[in-house]
Amino acid sequence: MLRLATAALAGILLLSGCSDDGPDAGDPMSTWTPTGTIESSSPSPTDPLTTAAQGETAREFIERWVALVDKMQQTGDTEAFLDLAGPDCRSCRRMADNVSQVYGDGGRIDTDGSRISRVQHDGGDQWSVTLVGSPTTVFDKDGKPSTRLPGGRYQLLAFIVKADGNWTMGEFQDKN
Amino acid sequence: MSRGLAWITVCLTVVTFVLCTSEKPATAACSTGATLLEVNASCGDSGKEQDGQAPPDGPDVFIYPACAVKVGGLCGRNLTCTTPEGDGAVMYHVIVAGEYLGTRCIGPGAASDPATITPGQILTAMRRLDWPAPRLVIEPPDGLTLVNFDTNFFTTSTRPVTRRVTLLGQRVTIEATPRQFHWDFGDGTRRTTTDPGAPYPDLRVTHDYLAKGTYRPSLGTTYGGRYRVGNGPWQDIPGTVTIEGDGQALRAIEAQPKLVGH
Repeated sequence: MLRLATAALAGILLLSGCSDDGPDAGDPMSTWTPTGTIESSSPSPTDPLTTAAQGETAREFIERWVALVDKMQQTGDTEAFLDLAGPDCRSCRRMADNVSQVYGDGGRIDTDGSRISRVQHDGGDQWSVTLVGSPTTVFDKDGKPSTRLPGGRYQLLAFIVKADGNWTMGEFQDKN
Repeated sequence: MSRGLAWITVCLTVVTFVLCTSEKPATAACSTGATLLEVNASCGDSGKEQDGQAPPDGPDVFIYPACAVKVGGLCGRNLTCTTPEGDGAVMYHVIVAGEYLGTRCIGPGAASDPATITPGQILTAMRRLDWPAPRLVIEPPDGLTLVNFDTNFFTTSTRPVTRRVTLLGQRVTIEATPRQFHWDFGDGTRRTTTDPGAPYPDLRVTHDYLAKGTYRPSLGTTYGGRYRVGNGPWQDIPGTVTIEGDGQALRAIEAQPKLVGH
């Protein structure tokens, strides 16, 4: 679990994307539909990233959350991402802190994000999410690359909760 | 419903935690809150005392359920998860010796499943424990040696040291063995050996000071380790811990040959 911080950073540097390799027969929320790339950089009341669609499914929430991770990495703005965090999501805060530190130090994160290839409900609040990340580079304030991630397939466990009609991210961790 | 699951259900309605203090020697009783899945973060017992050093305290181990929904400032429901065996379980935050280790899915059988403790967690615990610094012995004694003379260095801190802690309800024995010795002779010369050296006349780690002066040689030890859960098999810990010892003053002087009549 110590790897969480590392994995979280790796995760945030890799997460993104909104495509699907096909329906998962074992997934009870099989009505998920990809929403595509979000280009707006400023949240608005109608921003589909920050405003849940009515009747949002678990898969749609995970997709939206992943897209917000991408956006957070690309902009350094953690607010919308943290809005989806549950009351006790330390991994969420850690991830946001990592991004804030990069941008706060004058650096930036260059990534095309990832795409979701599979979402599976494991039971309870737990979902297994398989993603394919694109190459990602973290630059320091001098524009020099400080971290390079090659990208590739990885898996997360997401623990999501629906309360008062809205989904939140309870916790997440790398699956290994 | 198994007893463990029923117990979890009961726990969901209360704030549960276990806390171990280490303010007293490790043999002292631990303060404990409500037990959770019998995951008692009991204080680690001391291992063998070595080199006259007092045994260190065990690490604090603190776990608490991750809250899924808060109602009026209180947790209304804990985060649920699924163990690799497919059992329903509860997610916990795990803190060892003040360091947050992340979350862990603890199922009804976790308390008796050694596989739930990972080598990485053991390494973290090992690095948090207070392992003894090596005892450095220099010959000639009394902080005085000669220039261009084989000053002898050795340590008596060569035996494995054992600590016992409780992680996630399981008694874990961690054994650290000195693997390498890092000699800093204080004049800019350093050397690493697997040999702890030996007392005179068996000179195995020596150093010649080339100029007179006062130096502060010191010794560090890299511990490798292994652990076992309960009385299970020993497993290697994937990592090491290096402990630096304090230096000691050593004055190197020049000797002048002098004829003495009898």
